[in-house]
Amino acid sequence: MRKSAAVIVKPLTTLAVIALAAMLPAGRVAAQTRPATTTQATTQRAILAEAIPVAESLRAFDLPNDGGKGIIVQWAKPADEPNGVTYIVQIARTKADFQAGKFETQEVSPSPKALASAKPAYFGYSDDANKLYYAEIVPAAVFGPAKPGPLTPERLKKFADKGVLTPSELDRALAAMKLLPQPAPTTKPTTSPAAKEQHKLTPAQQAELEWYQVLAAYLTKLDGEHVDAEIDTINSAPYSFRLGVKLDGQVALVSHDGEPIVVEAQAVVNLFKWGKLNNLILSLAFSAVVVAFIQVAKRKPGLFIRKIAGLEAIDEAIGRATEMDRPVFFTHGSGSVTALPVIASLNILSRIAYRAAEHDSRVRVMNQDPITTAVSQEIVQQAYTEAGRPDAYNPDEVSLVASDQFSYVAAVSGRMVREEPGAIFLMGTFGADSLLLSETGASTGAIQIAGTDSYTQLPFFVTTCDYTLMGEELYAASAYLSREPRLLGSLRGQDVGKAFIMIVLVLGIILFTAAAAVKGWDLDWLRRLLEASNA
Amino acid sequence: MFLKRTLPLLIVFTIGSLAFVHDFIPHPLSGEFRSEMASWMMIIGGFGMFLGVYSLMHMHITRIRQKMAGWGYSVFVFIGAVGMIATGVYGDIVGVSKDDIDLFDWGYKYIQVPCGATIFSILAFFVASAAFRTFRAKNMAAGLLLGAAVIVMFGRVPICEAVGGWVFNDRQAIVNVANAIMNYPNLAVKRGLLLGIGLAAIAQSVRVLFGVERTYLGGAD
Repeated sequence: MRKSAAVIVKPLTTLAVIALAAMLPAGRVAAQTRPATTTQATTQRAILAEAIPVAESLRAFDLPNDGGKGIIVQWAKPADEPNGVTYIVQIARTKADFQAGKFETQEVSPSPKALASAKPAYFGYSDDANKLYYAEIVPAAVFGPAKPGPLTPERLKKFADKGVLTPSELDRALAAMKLLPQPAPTTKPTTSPAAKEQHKLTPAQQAELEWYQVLAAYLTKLDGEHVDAEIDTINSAPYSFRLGVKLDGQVALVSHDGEPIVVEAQAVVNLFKWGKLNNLILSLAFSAVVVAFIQVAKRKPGLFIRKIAGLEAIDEAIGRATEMDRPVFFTHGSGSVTALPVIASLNILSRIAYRAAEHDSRVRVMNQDPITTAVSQEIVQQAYTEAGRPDAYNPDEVSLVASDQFSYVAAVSGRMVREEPGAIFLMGTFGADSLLLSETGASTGAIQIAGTDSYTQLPFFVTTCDYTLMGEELYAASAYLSREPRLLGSLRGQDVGKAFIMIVLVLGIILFTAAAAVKGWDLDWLRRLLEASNA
Repeated sequence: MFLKRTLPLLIVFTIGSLAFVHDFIPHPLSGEFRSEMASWMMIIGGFGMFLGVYSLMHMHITRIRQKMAGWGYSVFVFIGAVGMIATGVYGDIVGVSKDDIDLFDWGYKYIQVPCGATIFSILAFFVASAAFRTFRAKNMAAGLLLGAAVIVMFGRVPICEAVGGWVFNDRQAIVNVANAIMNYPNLAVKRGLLLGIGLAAIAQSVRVLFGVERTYLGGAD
């Protein structure tokens, strides 16, 4: 975005525009910013004329799927697009503003990214999208509200005039403002003890300065709210657009009968993101399948579920820790309780705590997130109660260790080395801590069972742990361990979803292979539909 | 029972459904809902932090009092906590002039950050030791893993181009094989994994939304 001084069509040059219009094909007329007198310039104009998009193709409309912030300007890609051409979109508040030169300009360089096909969420998947260029205009970014400057005595007085500050508050603020350190006239900071002494404030002055800083923060927030409201007003107004092409400094506007074409549009608040319709349909359909199988499982319990080695080994690991009289360590990694893997790992923790209570073993849960700590304490306490051992529960064994990632790793690793646990469970969300924890755990000789959906960390767990629950296996743990019919039903629904995806993949492979073999069978629409997920 | 089970499940269903719908609605009200939820998260996080700090302190006090194994390290927790709180409060009350050293910032910059960086840097050695243990070709699968790993690692270093040119008469030969391993079998497995995770996440969300899965409330029922 930049000011359009170079391409503004001044009244004097308007005559030149009309003169040039007569030389160009009807309906595709140009304006120029500087007179051309040579043969080369004439050739340039001819090239420029060829680059002007078809007048009828120029359209402006509301940006779909947004909250009323943007407008789309769209035009057809010329059949012969000369090298070095740039499209310019001129934006004005009213048609009359164009004549007065009050408009802003946004440039669009021809590239595949500027084509409408690059944004299927706005333009769909038809072939026509490859023949259209578009510009996304956010009026507030073009005609942005003036940024409020720093607080000055004048601005404070304006706040007082509006009733934001009382007269006494204004006086107090003006007095406190004088206590603010003044910018040094030289770049070198003053370091002499005398100068330092001069800048020292009395406790009362310090208190006034602190009060002023709180006030300044509040007034800045008010400014921000005012700017936000102004942005909404700017975005919701109607705007006029013209389109031009620029080549070697010459500019030609899309015109008809010598008059530049002006299109108008206004951003409106949309109620639905139509570009996400496929996501919504698939999510709802899959959720419906899961709910249906939960209902089926309630009536017909005993659904088959394949063995998951990592979950089968939980009892073995706890048993081993009990035999060796060593504690069981459990960590949720770095995720908070809002993360789905952490919720899934809490289900596993419940089972582990229950088993540990039965075996009279100790479970130590080390957390990085305070809310996860609170939930874990509740779960472990409940598990001990259900196992008939409420007295064995010790809240100190389920605690926050550190909220910083590497402090957490240092603390947990240290405890692993000192306490030599018999079993270590690493379940949840992990980052760089995965290998640091699991490799330390491996060095202690403990049985390690890990589970995460952080696929970048899975290789580390696979290499260092005895068992790893990969991705969806972590989510299946709750159903697998509890054998609760409704949870098993949801797993069956999940399997149906996977079967559907597999069928779609196999069908896709067959169709594309066949399309490649059969001449004249075009499956381009299907390819673009599949690519929609990347849009 | 109503306060411990029914009400939380109602809240989960209502807020969860709204959060799901929010993703499909571009209206500003939807954005306001999101920021409102973020504020609530911060409020709950603040209370949670109190509980977390209490839990942390209580655990370490107990360890010191009972002289449990490694209780000396617990003393450092208090030294660190008290030190940082004291320097932070001192800096806030007394104020730190422009040329003085802020002990709080100093402690963070010259103790906390280097210690974290030290722990992170250990990762390099752990990667080597884990790789050494894993890449022993004990069976067919481990042999394949070793072969693929050697090609991919070698394909990422500049000398592989010289070796490719010398052995295969094509400087890009090893790079292309390494890229093919990453772009086809590796990516296919990764996408399969992600599809499974996506479906499992939806199923998990449905279970939580409809109250089928309620272990997170503390106990199965």
